[in-house]
Amino acid sequence: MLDQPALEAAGVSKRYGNREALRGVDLIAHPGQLHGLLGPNGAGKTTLMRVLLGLVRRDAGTVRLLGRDLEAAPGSVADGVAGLVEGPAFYPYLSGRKNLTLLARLDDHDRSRRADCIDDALEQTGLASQAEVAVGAYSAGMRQRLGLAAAVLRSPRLLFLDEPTSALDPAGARDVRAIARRLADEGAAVVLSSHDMSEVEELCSLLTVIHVGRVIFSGTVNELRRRAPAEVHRLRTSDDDAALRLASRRNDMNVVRIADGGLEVSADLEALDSYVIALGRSGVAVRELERRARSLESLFLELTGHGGAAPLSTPAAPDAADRGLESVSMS
Amino acid sequence: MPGPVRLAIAAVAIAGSIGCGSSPITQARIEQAIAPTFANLVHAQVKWLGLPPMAASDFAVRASCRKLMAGSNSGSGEWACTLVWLGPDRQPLRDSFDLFVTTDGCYTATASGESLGGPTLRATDGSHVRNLLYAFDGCFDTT
Amino acid sequence: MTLRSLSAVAAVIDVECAKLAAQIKVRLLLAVCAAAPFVFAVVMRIQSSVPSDTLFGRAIKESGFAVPLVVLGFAALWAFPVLTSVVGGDIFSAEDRYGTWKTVLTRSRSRAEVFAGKVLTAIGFSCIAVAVLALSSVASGVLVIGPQPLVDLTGVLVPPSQALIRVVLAWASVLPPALGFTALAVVLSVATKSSAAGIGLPVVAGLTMQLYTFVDGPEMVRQLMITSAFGAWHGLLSEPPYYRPLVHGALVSAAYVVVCLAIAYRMLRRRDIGG
Repeated sequence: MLDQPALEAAGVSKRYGNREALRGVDLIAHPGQLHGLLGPNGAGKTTLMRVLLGLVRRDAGTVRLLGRDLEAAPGSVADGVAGLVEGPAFYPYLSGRKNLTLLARLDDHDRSRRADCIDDALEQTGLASQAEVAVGAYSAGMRQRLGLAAAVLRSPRLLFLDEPTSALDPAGARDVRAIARRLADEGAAVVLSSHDMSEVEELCSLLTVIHVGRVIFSGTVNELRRRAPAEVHRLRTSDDDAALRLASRRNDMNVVRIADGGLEVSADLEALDSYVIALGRSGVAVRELERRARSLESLFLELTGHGGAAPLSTPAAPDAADRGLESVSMS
Repeated sequence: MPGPVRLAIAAVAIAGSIGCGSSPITQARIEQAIAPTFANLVHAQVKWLGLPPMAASDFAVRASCRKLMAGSNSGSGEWACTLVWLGPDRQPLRDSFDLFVTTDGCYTATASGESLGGPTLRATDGSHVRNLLYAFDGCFDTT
Repeated sequence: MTLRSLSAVAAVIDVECAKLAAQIKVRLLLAVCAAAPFVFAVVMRIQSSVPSDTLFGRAIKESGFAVPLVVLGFAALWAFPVLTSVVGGDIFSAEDRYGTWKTVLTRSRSRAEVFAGKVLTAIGFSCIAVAVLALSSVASGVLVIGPQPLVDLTGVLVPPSQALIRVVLAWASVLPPALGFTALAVVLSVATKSSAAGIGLPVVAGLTMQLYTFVDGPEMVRQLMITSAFGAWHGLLSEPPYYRPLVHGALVSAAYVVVCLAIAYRMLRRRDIGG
C-alpha cells in the first residue's frame, strides 16, 4: 500500500488508577484494508477504540486519523471517521429513523441528501422495516444494526467496529461482515475488533493481537497461522503426565494442559500422527482426539512465549474453549 | 489556581462589596416607610368611600416605631408603631399598629384596636369596600 | 466565534429541542404553567377568603393585577427551582442515563459545541417557562378578576396601564435568578450524572436558602443567596421605586451562572466516556 495510512497510532497508553489498560500500543491501518483487533474481554480493545474515537483521554502516544493529529480529548470525530463502540445506545423514546436524523443533524451533512442517506443506511443494515419503531422496543441485535447504520451514515473512510457482531445471530453477523468487506472494497480502512478468532481470520487481512493492554502480535493472518496455528486438537489419554513428558521432548509441536482436564495439542497433521504413534508405543492410550478451533488463551500463551506444560488456571479458559467448540461446529 | 475557583472568589468579592454589617431593618427605615404608606392608603380609602378627595400630604402622618424585644432597635420580627395624623376633619388622631417585619424588608401592619374600623367599610353609595387600614403590607429598600 | 461554530451550536440546539418536544414532561410542565394561574384566579374569585399571608393577597378580589404578583410570590418559593431544573437538571444526565454520550460525541460536534447547545436549550426553556407563567397569570388576572387599579406596596393606587407595565417588569426581573437556578441544576447534574440530583438538589437548595430569610443572619450572606433576587421586584411596586435590589440580584445571578457553567464545562471536557 503506497497510500498514506488512514490510521497511525503509536505508543498509546492509558491508565485507570493503578491499572494499565493500554501499554504502548501501536496500530496502523491502510485504506482498503480490514484490520482485525483480536483479544479477550478486558484486553483493552474497547479502550483502544475509545481512545482513537476521542471518547477517552490517552496518557501517552500519538494518533493520526486520516492524516490529522488527534488531540488528547477532542470530543468530536473528524469528517470521514466513524465508529461503532460496543453496545450502541440511542434514545429509546424515539424511532430508529428519528435517532439517525438527529445524529445526521450533528454531522456536517448535506441537508438535501440527508433523508436519502438515512434511507440508504437503514436499507443496508436491514432495518428499513423497523425504522419507525421506537428504539426502546429494539432487540440488542437491532440496536447493533442501528449503530452500524449511524456509523455508515458518515460515509466513513476510516471505520472502527468494536465487537460489531456480538449481539447478532449468524445471519446478522454475516450481513455485518458483508458491509465491512464492501466498505473496505470501496476504499475505507476498517478496524474491527473481536474476541472470535475465526471471524477475524475470515474477514481481515491484517491482525493485531492485544493481551492485557499490550500488542503481542501484529502482522498478516498467514504469519499468525504460521506462528500459532488456529486449529488444535484436544487429547485425552490414559496418562496425561507421560504424554506431556513425551511432547516436551519433541520440537515440532506444543502441548498444554487445559483447565477442564485433558491436553491441547498444536501441531500439523504429520507431527500429530507421529506423536500419537509414539504415545501408543510408550504405553499411553489415546482416549479422545478431537479437532477444534484454538482457544484464545492458548493462542496468547503461544504468542507470549509461554507455551508448554503450564496449566491454565484462569477461569476464562473454559468459556473460551466452549466458544472454540461452537465455532468448529458452525463452520 | 484553577479558573473556576478564581471566578468564585471574584463573585464573592463582588457580593461582598454589596453589603455587610448589622441588620438593615432599622427603626428609621420602618418609620420612613410606614408613614407615607399610611398616608397614601388613607387617600385611597377616602376615594373608595366616595368622600371628598384629600391629598396624602394633608394628613401629615408621623410614625414612631419600636421593636417589641427589649434592648434592640433593629432586626426582623415584631415591632409596634404609633401613627400620629390629622383626620379628614383635621382632628388629631393616634393609631397603633402591630408589625411583623421580615428580613427582606417587607412588613405586615395590623391595626391594634377598633379605632380604624373592621375589615370592611361602607361607602357613601352603600357598597362594601375593603378597609385598607385594617391590615396592610409594605416593603422598603434594605440595600 | 466563527460562523461555523455558531451554526454548529445551532445544530445541537435543534437536536436538543427535538428531543425535548418528544418528552411528555416538558409539554406537561408548560401546560401546567399555562393552566394553573387560571385555576388559581377562578378559585380566588369564587372563595371568600384571600391569601393574606402573601404580598398583594389581600387585594386579589379587587384587582386582577394582584393575581400575577401573588403567583410570583408563590412561584419564588416552590415553582421556579422546579421549573428551571426540570430541563437544566436532566439535559446532561439524560445522556448518562441512556448511555448515549458515546453516540453523541462521535459525530462532528465538539464537546464545547455540545455543551453550549445544551446549556442554551436549558436557558431557553427556563425563559419560556417563566414567560408562559407570567403571561398566563396576567391574562387570568385581567380576564377573571378584572383590570382595576392596584394598591402598591407604598399604599399608592396605581392606574391599570401603569400596573400592567410594572407587573410585566416584575416578572422580567426574576429571569436572572431563574437562569442562576438553571446553571446550578446543570452543574449538579454534570457532577452527579444523575437527573434525580440535577432536579432535586436545586429544589432543596432553594428551600434551604428560603429558610435563611427567617433568620437575622449577616446581610451579606442573604445577598449571596440567589433566592433573594426573587424578591427584588418589590422596588418596582413602590413609590418612589427603588432599583438597587434588582441590580444586586442580577449581579449575584450572573455570578452563579458564570461559576456553575465554568465548573460544569471543565468537568465535561475532562471526562472519560464509558471508560
